Amino acid sequence: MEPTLLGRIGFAFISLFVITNYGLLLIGSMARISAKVQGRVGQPVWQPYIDIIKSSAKRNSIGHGIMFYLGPVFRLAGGIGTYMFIPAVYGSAAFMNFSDSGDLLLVMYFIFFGQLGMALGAGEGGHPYSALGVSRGLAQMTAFEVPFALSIISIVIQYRTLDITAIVAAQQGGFMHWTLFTNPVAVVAAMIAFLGMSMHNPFSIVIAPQEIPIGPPTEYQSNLLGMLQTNRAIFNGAKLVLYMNLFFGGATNIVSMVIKTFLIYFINIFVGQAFPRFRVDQSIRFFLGVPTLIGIASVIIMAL
Amino acid sequence: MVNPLYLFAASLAVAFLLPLVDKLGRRISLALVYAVTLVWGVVAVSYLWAMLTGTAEMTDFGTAGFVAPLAIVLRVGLEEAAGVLAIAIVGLLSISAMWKKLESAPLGGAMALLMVLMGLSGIVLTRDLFNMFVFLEISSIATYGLIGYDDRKQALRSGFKYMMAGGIASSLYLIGVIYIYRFGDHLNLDLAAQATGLTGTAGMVSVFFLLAALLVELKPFPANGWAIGVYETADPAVSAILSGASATALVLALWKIRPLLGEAHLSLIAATGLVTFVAGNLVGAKQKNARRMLGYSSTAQIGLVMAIMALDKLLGLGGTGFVYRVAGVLLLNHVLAKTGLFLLSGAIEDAGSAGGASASGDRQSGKLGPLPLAAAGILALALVGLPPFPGFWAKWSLIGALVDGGQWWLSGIILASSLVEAFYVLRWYGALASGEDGTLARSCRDIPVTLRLGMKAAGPVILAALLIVTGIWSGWERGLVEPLLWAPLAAAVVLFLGDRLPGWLKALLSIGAAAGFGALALDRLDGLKLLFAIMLLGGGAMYSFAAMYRPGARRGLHPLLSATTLALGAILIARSPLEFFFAWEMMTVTSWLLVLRGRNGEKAALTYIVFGLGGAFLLMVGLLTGPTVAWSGYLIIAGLLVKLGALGVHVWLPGAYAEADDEVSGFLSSSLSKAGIFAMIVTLAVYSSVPGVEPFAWRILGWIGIATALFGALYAVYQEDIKKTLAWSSMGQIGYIVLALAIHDEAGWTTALYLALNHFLYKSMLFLAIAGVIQAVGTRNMYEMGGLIKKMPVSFLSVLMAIIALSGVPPLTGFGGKWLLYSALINKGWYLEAGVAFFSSAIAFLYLFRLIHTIFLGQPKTAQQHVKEASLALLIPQGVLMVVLFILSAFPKLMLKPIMDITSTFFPSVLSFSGSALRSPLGYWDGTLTMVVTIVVFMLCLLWLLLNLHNPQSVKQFNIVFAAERPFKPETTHFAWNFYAPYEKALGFLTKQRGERFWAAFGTGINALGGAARRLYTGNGQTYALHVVLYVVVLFLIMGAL
Repeated sequence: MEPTLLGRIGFAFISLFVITNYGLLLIGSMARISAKVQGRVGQPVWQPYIDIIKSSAKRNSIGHGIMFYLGPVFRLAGGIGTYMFIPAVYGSAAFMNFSDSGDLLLVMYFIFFGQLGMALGAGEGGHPYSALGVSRGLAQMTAFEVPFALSIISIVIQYRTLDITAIVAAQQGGFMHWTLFTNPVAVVAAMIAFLGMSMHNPFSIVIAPQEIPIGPPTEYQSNLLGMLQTNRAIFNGAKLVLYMNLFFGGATNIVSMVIKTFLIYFINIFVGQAFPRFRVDQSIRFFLGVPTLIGIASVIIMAL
Repeated sequence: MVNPLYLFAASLAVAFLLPLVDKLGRRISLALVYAVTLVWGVVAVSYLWAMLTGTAEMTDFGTAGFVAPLAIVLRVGLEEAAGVLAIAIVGLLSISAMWKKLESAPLGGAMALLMVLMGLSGIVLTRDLFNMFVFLEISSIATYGLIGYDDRKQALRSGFKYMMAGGIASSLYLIGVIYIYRFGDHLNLDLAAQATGLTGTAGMVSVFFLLAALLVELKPFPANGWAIGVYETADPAVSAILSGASATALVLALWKIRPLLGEAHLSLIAATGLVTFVAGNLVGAKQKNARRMLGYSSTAQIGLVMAIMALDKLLGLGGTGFVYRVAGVLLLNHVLAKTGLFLLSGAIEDAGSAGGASASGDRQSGKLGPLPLAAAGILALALVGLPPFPGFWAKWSLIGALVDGGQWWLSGIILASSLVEAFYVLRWYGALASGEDGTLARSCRDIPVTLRLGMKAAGPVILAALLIVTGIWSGWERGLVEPLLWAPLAAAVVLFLGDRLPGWLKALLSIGAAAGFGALALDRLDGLKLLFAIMLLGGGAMYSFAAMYRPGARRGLHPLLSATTLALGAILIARSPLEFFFAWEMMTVTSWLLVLRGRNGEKAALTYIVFGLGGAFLLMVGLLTGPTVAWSGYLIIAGLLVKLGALGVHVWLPGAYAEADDEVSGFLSSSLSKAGIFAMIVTLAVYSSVPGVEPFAWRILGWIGIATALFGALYAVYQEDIKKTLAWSSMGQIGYIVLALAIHDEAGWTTALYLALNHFLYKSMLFLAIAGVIQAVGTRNMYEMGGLIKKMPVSFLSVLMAIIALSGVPPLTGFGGKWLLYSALINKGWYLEAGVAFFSSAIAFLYLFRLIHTIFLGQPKTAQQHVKEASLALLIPQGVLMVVLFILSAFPKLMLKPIMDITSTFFPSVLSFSGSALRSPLGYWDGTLTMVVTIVVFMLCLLWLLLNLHNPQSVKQFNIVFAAERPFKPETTHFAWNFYAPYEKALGFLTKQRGERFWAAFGTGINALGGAARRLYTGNGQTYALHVVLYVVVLFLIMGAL
């Protein structure tokens, strides 16, 4: 039975609630794992909640103008929107979200909605480091988009559809039906792109988190920063769910979704802890080199 | 009809009486000379009138009471009457121009002038070979006198060389006459042509001497050094007579002896003519001196005319009628234009400037007033064969006949050479028009440095008017009777005449013209054409409105803008290839003038017109071949790709878009480029059913499109100049449209049309907003701006919406374009193209963010504290476009349904709507739902922000967390210059401007050819005489070999 509009909105809120909390816990646990690898105790798993509450409770919000205030709004709306356009759990009415708005292409492009708005907001902040971060981030983005897009094209050739639900449906019936096993070359290309997308090491120059506060959030504080932190959880969740759907057979229930997305995200940490950081021009050349060739190979294999 | 003998008698009598009359005063003698020439002209008009109205036919006038062979016969036919009229007109205008100098020079000048004109008319009229020799001698000797009449040292020197060559030619002629009489028994042309004695080898040789003499007189390459110097050094009015009147007479003489000529002779003429045409233009391109340049151009034009006369008979192109319509019209075109240009250059020289004498113009000398400048433009455009002038129609017929005859090489050579000619003639005009401050006509205020030509401008203006009239007549005669096709010309003329009116009034008139055109043409605009009419006519009207953002009359802008707009409309309603090509060339010409009008537009405009014409020539050959063979389609597509700025032939694009006036750039990018898209669609539709068109060709076209998209985007990333960024961006966006068209199915074409309309919307918004910004801050460098969001919020919003739409981020319309493109590409199986499209569309984010950030965000500059929002003339169109863009984003069906109705007439359906969702074989997209979800989510987030915003405080500039230091200068705090340094480091090698270097090398090569040919011209009289002799010997040897 098709849910009513009101029902769908209700489901959307439930879905959003789940992904937000899961995303926050995921960030917290990954930070903890990283700390363990580095021999530190690390933060508690619920630290992201504390951060958001603290930020939101600040007495003053410093602003630089309307666009500056709207930046986090764009960012959060972008994160939520991206998630809303992805069916999170296969076959579940509660988690289908508003995926009937559009197919895979819509999701891929809606990702930019928040990034663009955020970049503009940060721009009005007037801090040169914000713009510097955006410059680096965009430059790197154009590069990792290439293997990512190629792997997407490869799986679209494979499944003859851009409909995410249909792609998940095609992977049902045992793990050997996952794209991971039916089209491993595309998955390799996509996972390398994922490293860039997640901006962990070795592709973390965009925000350079260790040494200087750089990147779009530089000027943000208080409630505005809280929104960005919330978005981080949702947006990460959305991307992970997307990857799970496309390459790892999707999920038929929440538990398998949690396990799969956790493992996908873990790849970031795994690689990130092992490799030093690239400069931007190096990472651009990296992505346009071997990963792109792998992507092209995946397209050619599927096209033949 | 009047017996022409009386005219000769009158001329001779006046010439002999002049010394007596002169006692009464020089003015009276000059008036007498003028009157006699006028009589010649009036009589010629009466001949023409009688023959055209049919009251009289071709008549032979015997002399001394006898007819041939007993006496000399003068013939008055159509070409003779026209020739005499041309000589008289040139003579009258030249006398007027020389009047002042003739008053002070010795009387011989006036007498020589009278004799030159009479001699030339005699050459035209006589049917007797020996009599022709007499007239040749009379005109030659009188010409030497005339060259030196005002005692210029230089002129005397070149006059001597002229005399030497003339002497050799006369001797040859005389030998020819003697032998013809010996072998053919007659001196009368008609009788000699029937003489059997002239058919053998001996006859061939005797005719050869005659021919060689005439050829030498016609100044063939390379034996024309003796003549070029005269053009440069003599009084320009004398050069006008040489180039206009003398050439007319000699060409007609050649035409007259055509019946005597055998195939070998004709081959010689054709080869000589073509070589002269090519070489004359190549050497002309090297010239620094304008009159010398015009001289080379004269020899080239005459070369072409005589080649056509010979080729007609050799290849059977169409007989006498064809020669009249092509060679005759070309000659007419040449006479009017060249005479006008020589007179104009003289007038400019007299006005105290060297601008007329220097091919690169003279920057210190001021500029021409609007009327002489317009006349100069008309003359230059006519000279290079652009519409609506006679040369254009002649060239169309010529290439048509050659193409029909399968003469590809000849058409190619003629067109390539014409392109070289266009290059240097229009370069000269560009320099002339740019004047001192680089604008054609900046405002209605009279700038003191304007050159006052006074009555001296009358000659060129009259000739320009004659060219317009004869051009319209030629076009009308070739069947272009649809008044709307002539609307661009009418609009240009009317608005030019009213150019002193205030800008707003002219803008309203232009909008009215576009609206009127649309209303009149509405019944002919079906789905596809209607869609393009919105972009072309609507766009033109919008930019006319926006043009009010700068105060003043903005002279020159509105006539050209309106003419371009209407020419774009004319392209839509054209029904035949000729109509289409006419409208297309009108558009090219008017838009070139628009670019030239830009502040530093001279160089950019030259590149623009050369590439525009190059593309148009490809188009022309393709159109004339017709849709029967596949490769004619490829030619047309290649021509259109040049116009669209595809990678490799894009070098004209950044300059033209950047250097034109700011709103004109928008017009070029958002409206005018769509004309090429329209033509491309029509071409692809026509040729898809032509046998032999390979699907592989579409694939190549697709790769050209995607390469254009990728490199356009890459180039845009590295620009500091905002207009350059937008220019490269336009190139990239057009690349996507070409790619989508190449897909060649319903989804692909729907994508292409959707992208085209979208590009029109957001590029208009961007260019209009940027025009306001540039006006406000007075620079085009983005890094010199910053933080303008608070000063120009509406412009910011417009740019914001535009870049969201351009980048394809949902929920605005741009995403629809991306969705359609990828769906269509993947559905078609063009996977790698889709991959590259992803890459290039990601790169677009780079320049778009940079654009909005460095201009509107970041730190405002101290000097720009008082910047105000742009004027309403810019904001109103932007506001309308924003609303339209938003509505189309929320309801994409409004836009897609009509487009799909159009494309489904060409192809079987691939896309379909179910409710508000668009479905492709691969996926779906519901624009309305996307918009709703986005707005709801955005509002919720905004609500959270507002509810949770504690004590918001605005802080001042520089109050930022900045490495424990308080910045104080926006210049050092605003991160803007070299924004993507790492990107340049990684991928900069891709954008090394190979295209530019290739074409620069190509130009250098052509230039070197011209340079090599120019070395023949040593300036030494003996060498020149040797050239002539050797030339004749070589001709003779070649004839023997044929």
